[in-house]
Order: sequence, then C-alpha cells, then structure tokens
Amino acid sequence: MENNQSNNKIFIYLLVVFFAFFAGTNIFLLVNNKSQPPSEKEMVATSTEGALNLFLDQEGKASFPKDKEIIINLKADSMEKNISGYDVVLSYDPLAFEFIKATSLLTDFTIHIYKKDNYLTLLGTKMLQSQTQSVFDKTKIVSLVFKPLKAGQFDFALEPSFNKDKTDFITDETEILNPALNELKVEIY
Amino acid sequence: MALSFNPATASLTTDLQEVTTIIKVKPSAVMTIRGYYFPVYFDKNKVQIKNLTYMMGNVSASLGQTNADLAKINADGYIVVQGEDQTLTGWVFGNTTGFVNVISIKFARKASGSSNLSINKDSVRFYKNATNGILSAITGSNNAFLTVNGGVPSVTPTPTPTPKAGTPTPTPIGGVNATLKLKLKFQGIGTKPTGALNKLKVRLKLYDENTETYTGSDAADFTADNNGIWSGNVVFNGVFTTHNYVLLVKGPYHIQKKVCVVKPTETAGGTYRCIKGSISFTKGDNNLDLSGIVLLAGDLPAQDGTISSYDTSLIRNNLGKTDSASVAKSDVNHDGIIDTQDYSLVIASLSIKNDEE
Repeated sequence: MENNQSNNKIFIYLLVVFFAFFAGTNIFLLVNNKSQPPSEKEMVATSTEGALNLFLDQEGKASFPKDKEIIINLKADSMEKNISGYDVVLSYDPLAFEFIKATSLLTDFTIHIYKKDNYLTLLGTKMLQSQTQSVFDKTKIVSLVFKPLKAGQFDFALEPSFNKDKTDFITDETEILNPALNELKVEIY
Repeated sequence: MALSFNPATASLTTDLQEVTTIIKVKPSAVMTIRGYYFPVYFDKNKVQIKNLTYMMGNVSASLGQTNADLAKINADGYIVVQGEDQTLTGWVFGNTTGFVNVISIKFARKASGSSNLSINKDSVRFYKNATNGILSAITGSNNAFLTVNGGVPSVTPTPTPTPKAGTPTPTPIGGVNATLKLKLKFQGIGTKPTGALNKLKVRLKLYDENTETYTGSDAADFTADNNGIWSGNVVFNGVFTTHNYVLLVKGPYHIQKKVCVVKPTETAGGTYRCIKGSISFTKGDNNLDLSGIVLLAGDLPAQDGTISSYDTSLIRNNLGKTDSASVAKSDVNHDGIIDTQDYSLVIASLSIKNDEE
C-alpha cells in the first residue's frame, strides 16, 4: 500500500515536470517568434565596406504625377568608420528627369555638384572646422530633387564609377571604402 | 546658366541670304560674372559667319575670336566666344528671370540644305566672382540650338582627341628632336620653395593635330626662381616641324592643362581654355612660356585625373604634418607644412574637377 502511494507521488512529480518543460518550451518559442521584426521590404545594399542607398522621400510610394518634383535621398552606412569625404555617381535618364538641386543633410559637409550628360556626380567634403565624428549609420546624407519630364517607368542607379568619377567613402585615415550600392525604380504618370 | 539663340530658327532660301541671331544667357542665381567662354559650332559647308558683335563686356584679347578671325572661323566650323568684364564691379546679373545678350552673330547661307548652330552645354564656362575673390566656373544647363532650314538640333561634341577604335593609326616616319624649354606657374606657389622642396616632377604630353594622335609623353624635373616661375626642359623625338600640336601639362598635385599656343595668357587665374592646338616646333630648342597661366592644384598623388574627396580628405587628415612622406603627398604650395592653404587651393579648383584633354 505504501509502495503504491510512493509510485503515485513519483508519477505526479514526473507529470508536473513534463508539463512545466512543455509549457516553458512553448513560451520560449512564442516569445522568440514575436521578437523577430517583420521582413524588410525596401531593397537595400550592404557590404563590409558600407552601403549607400537611394530611397524616395515618400517611402512606400514609387509612383508620382508628372507635374510634381520628386525627392530622392541618399542613406549611408560607413560600418563604424569616421568619414571625411565621399563621392557619388548617380545615373538617370536626363530626357525623363531634370535635375533641380542637391542639398547636404549633414551640416558639417559641403557638397559640390557636377551635372554630366546622363549622370550626376557629387563630391562631399567635411568642413575643416568640424571636430565631430561622422560615422554613418543609415544616415541620410543628401537630398536630391528632380523634375519629371515625361511619363513612364525609370531607373535611378548609384554607379561604382563612370569615366574618371567614382562612388566611395573616404575615412579619417584616408582609407577608401567602396560601399554596396542600390538602384531605384520610379514610375511617372 | 541657361543659353538660347534668338531667333532659334532661320529660313534661308538663297545663297548669301543673311540673318542675325543673338545668343542670350539667363543665370540660375544672382551673381557677378568676370568672364565667359563657349564655342559655337556650325556646318561650314552650309553656313558662313559674316559678323560678330560682343554684347556682354568685351572680347578677351587674343583669346576670343572676332571679325578679324572670320576666315579661320569659317574654315574651322566653330567660333570661340570668349569675353570678359574688366570693370570694378564685373557684369552683375541682378535677377534670374531675364535673358541677357552675350553676342550677336550674323551668318549667311553658303549652300542649300538644313543645318544648325549649336552650343554644347558642357563646353560653356561663366566665371563667377565669389566673395573670397576666387573665380569659379559655371557650366551651361542646356544645349542651345539655332536650326537652319529645318535642321535637326544636335550637339557637336567638343573635339577631344580620341583614337578611333579598330582603326590602326599610321605612325609617322621621321621628324626631328625638339627640346621644349618650358616656364610654368603653379597655383599657390608665389616664391622659390626652400631646399629639396624646390623640385616638381611635371608630366608633358604632345597631341599632333595633323595626325590626331598623341605623339609622345615624358616627365621632367622643374625648379623655381625667386618669383615662383618654374623652369625645365624635355626632349620629344620625331616631332614634325610642319604639324600643329597641343601640349598637355600635368603637375604632381595638379589637374592637367591643355595648352594650344606657345605663350598663353589669362586675365584671371585658371581661366585659360583652348580647343585646337597651333603650337609648331623646330629642331633643337623651343621656348614655351606658360607662366602667363596658372596650373590649378587638386589631383594629389596617387593621381587619377580628377579631384575627388580622396584629395580633399588627404589634406584634411594630414593637417599640421611636416614629415617628408606627408608633405610629398599633399603639400600643394610647397611651403613644408600641410595646412589650410593647401586645402583652400584644392577647394578653389573644384569648379574644374577633371583633367583637360
């Protein structure tokens, strides 16, 4: 009789341990699953030498009326490196868009703009008097404004190089970084 | 700078029938202009230029073409428009709404058929007076056309010496040895640098206008006198005394300069431009005095033919250094220290950016 009672206690103990393990595992999986972010939908480029990405100012929108100027921003990631200058080559269809202006979104960087036949080059220089670190971490660095000229679907693309012009970041150690680049599709109606 | 012809079309029904057009410009911002330069191309078989009248400032002496150059203009098929305003204030664009007259061109039909007069926006330079006294160049924002008898607007590219792919270039046989005795002036160096700093290695290249080929390149050491004029010699073999040449000069911290005459001059530092070379050489010594123009700094070692953020960063990241390795890379004015003057010199050249070809 005593032996039976002892066996029941052991059985109940094992049952409690089993349910506790089962519930714990489920809670862990549930919590772990919830903590994952929703998958990133925008196409971004990354690499060990950083990234430079084009994205529309009105995120989530890729279709625009012909009579409205569009704003495209440049977002940079310098992989924790301190940047003292950058060069950008951006190709686009000059028959479809008129380049209006480019503005530095970093107060201690000056940009010089060169409009070529079917591409644009930007040269960003950090002001001499600036002593702050310029580590780009998905940092918006430049805003570009284009005026659509005709309807259709068009590409804006960051190019690694074109003629003598290049896209790169220069660090405070004068190291040249070749960031991963993306392109952007825009529809004008 | 927006450019346009007015009128922008012409209908010429008989040979020698004339029409006058005015080239106008509209600035993108309120500014003061010191000078301007652009070539106007036309079909020399269909059209001939009869008269030029500069309407903005005056023609740049010996640089801009005038009525005295009509024979050459009509033989070449382009007009070199180059003018300047030497008044104390310069030419002030007070607003961005109105077009201003630059030059009036009278032309006549030479033969029937359609053609056009054109301006390539990339060849246009308007030299803006900045508040720090440095001139910066502004290019055109559009190609401009005047269509004659329904011609199709098309831009004549600036004649750049590009070897034709797949076509073997005949190598001229013969020629003489020509020693080029050169005098140069570099941006930012006004006196004789001290000691070992008084030496710059300069690369030189010749382009033969007759054969449309690069015929030779060499490098030579140059040294400066007390006035900052640098002298050096280089020998080119196989030079033809009957040919016309362009000289391309590139300093060790500088953007390449294209030179078309033996003694070029400019009214503001770094503004000299030319299209077609007319330098001829003789056997033996040939003196070329380029000290009337300034070779702009900006393309630092290792050179890649353009001013980029690498060049500006190289100076920024080495400010205050005086060691020989750092100085050799970025002491643009050769005073033995990398400082804000070196940085300013490179920034001042950013309006040009690329080597001239």
